[in-house]
Amino acid sequence: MDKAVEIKKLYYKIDNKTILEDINFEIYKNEFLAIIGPNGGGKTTLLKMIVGLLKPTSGKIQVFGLKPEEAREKIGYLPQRRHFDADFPINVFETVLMGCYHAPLQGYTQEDKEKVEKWLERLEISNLKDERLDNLSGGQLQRVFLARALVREGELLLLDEPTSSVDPLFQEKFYEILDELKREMAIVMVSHDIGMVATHVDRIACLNQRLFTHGPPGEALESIEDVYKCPVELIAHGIPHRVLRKH
Amino acid sequence: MIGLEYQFMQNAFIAAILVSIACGVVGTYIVIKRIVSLSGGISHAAFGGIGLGYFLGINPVITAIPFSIISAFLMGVITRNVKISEDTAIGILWSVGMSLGVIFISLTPGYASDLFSYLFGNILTVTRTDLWMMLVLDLIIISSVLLFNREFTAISFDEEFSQVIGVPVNLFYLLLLTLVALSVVILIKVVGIILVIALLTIPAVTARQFTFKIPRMMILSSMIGIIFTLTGLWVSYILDVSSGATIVMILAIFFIATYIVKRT
Ligand SMILES: Nc1ncnc2c1ncn2[C@@H]1O[C@H](COP(=O)(O)OP(=O)(O)OP(=O)(O)O)[C@@H](O)[C@H]1O
Ligand SMILES: [Mg+2]
Repeated sequence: MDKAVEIKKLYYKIDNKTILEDINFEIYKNEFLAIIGPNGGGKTTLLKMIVGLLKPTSGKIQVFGLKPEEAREKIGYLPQRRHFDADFPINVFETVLMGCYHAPLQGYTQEDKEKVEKWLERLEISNLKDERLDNLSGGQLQRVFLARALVREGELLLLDEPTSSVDPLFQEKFYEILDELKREMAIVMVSHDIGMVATHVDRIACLNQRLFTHGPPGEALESIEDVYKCPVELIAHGIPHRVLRKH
Repeated sequence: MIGLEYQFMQNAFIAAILVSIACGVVGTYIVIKRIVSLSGGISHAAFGGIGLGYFLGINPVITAIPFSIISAFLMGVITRNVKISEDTAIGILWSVGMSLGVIFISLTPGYASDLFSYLFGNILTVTRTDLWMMLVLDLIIISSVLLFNREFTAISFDEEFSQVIGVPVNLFYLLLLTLVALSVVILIKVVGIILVIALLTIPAVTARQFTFKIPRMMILSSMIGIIFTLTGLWVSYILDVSSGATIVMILAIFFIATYIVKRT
């Protein structure tokens, strides 16, 4: 099978504070992995390392056998926090088109524009394509940024809390889209929506400084059910190590 | 009627057009990327280059070119990599640049003629050589923007995402600051170092109220610049007051008026 991401002995420290510790895992093409864990557990940090926004203190990350920054063409990314000015002179269509960026001196093609139209359609925001970003609701904005990540149609999709702030009806639709996309790519999704996660993903990883993955769906579901009964801190794997029986 | 029969008035007329183009194009990025104070820092630091010109006995605008590009790079690198806040770094570089200028000038024997016009501008002192230089710098700015508007827009909108999609963010940030430095140089003779930032922001922010497309914002702010620098030139000629300050005042009044009209 095609290895999309390979992480070995990864450590990340900021000012002597350990954020990630001895992370080891692999993600394969056609796999849908969810990462759950408490606030501050390091989920966003890990995704940022996979896209090459942050460099590990030590250890190895490879994306399709390349360094993260060399694999950017193949990665679609939805950040958790978005650093932009809502008042910026740009409309929805142009925002999503940016996701198709190739290289300096290479313009956007007709095909790129058609892909944008297609994704706006699939995320049901075609009617907003000429809107300014500051005229959108929180959920609408979230869909625009989802479209910007999806339009890349890469081989690895990294989603940091994609369903926060979108309505339940759209969430269901969105998971259907992901089920379909999974046939062509690897997907990593960070989410606190444990119920949804349990029914759609192949594998679940709990991250709290250290990472634990839970095997085949049946087993994962079981542990998720355990999680449901317990407060979030019980899925924490930090030090001191308070974990589920499953581990 | 407004003295166009004089060579210096013709030069001033052409200069008004050339500076407005630089202001419209670069000013648009300055406003949307919110690097107004950083650009203000670059323009003030350029005074070091002016002083160097006096000291070496060559045209101060020529020495201001490398000097402001270097200070733009320093601003860019220091505000990103050193653990002090951006506005502190800007404040320090700004005053260091100006101090260097003052030191160079005090080391230069004799009276520093025209110094006032570098600080506050005097469009009537623009020479043919200045015009050629402005034209070349304008062409550099316009061609950079035609080639790289995609990248400049992307980094102005969202630097983190730009990096993820493979835009060479640092390279284009420094290139953008270089364009700011070149615009500062173009503007020095017209409004002077102290007032440069007004022309780099007021036309763009005025234009922004009327359009939501970056290319249109550039064109519209260039037009606003042309109309009001010429008006300012004419008013200052009639009233016999400083042209740079008059241009800035007229632009500001127009901005306030449009702002009020737009909100009511
Ligand atoms: N720039 C930084 N400097 C210092 N510490 C940081 C920095 N960025 C993140 N951290 C720390 O790293 C840890 C992990 O943060 P991260 O954002 O990855 O958590 P998360 O799992 O995504 O949490 P959430 O569920 O709230 O999104 C946190 O303890 C945070 O305080
Ligand atoms: Mg997070």
